[in-house]
Amino acid sequence: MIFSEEMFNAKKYGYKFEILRGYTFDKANIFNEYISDLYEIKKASNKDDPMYLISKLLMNSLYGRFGMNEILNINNIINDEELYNYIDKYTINNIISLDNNKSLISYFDNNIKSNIMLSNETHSNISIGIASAITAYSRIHMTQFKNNSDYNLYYSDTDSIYIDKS
Amino acid sequence: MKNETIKYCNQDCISLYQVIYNFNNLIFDKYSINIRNYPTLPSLAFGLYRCNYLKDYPIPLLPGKIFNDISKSFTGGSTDMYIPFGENIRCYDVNSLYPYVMNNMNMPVGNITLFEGNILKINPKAFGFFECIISTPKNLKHLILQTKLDTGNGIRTLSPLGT
Repeated sequence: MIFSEEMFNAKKYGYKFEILRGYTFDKANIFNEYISDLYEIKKASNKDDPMYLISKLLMNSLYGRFGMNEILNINNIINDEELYNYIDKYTINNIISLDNNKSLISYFDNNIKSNIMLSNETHSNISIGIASAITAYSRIHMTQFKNNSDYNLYYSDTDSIYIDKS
Repeated sequence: MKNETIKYCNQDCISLYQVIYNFNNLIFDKYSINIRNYPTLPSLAFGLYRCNYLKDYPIPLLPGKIFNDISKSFTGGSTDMYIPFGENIRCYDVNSLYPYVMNNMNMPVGNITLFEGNILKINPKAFGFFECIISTPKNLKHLILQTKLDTGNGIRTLSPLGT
């Protein structure tokens, strides 16, 4: 699966695509006002003003919420002798021993997962396409700085590049 | 020593209370929502987006199979090291990359259509998520597409060559 805009961008670099199937959407700019309001606050605040951090975090933490997994982990404190029952029944993510014959475990229930898959209903207000599109657009933005013969690229990550030219 | 510890804990609680109190007032005055209903920062961001900025445009709920399909395309930023050693390296970073993108780009919303075959024959500007067979160029210096691979030892993200 690939986001259409990332595909069109990669074609410029010589990638070839054979499309098999997929989902199409309408398009609209929906975050414009949210971001402009918070960005104004960020721009107007000094870096050591708490408002700087507050506005920055509120801007950066919205998109991931749309891609939240709707199968949430269950956390429970159990007696150690019950542990094997849980291991049989569920997918265990983490076990923290509490040293008094009890453990804090984190697991999820595969039955819930298959129920959700069958019902095609959700109660958690998610729209993963939005989250996926935002990270894809960001990668597209960074491709501008790669494969550039004017300088050598040493390292790059999500939003930065390390090069040998000023 | 005991008294000092108690004093310290008291001060800690009081200052934390003041921080939460002020933060709640700030958010309430600006956005009219109560932070006590939102246990995490992403849920607060989501709450104030829904209360204050939701437009007429419908954002689809994507559960079950669609969620699983599209989550295959959901990967983070790419990080790669190309040359392990160098001198006089300059570092540049993009200011607020994700907010910039959210501000300026079109998001996939509204009606969803499922299709089979090559959609570009019908609509060359089709917008959405496609399952494709991808062939990479043979001599590209920095690869730009990445995918998730389950190595049996956790999921890794990598940029492959080939088809």
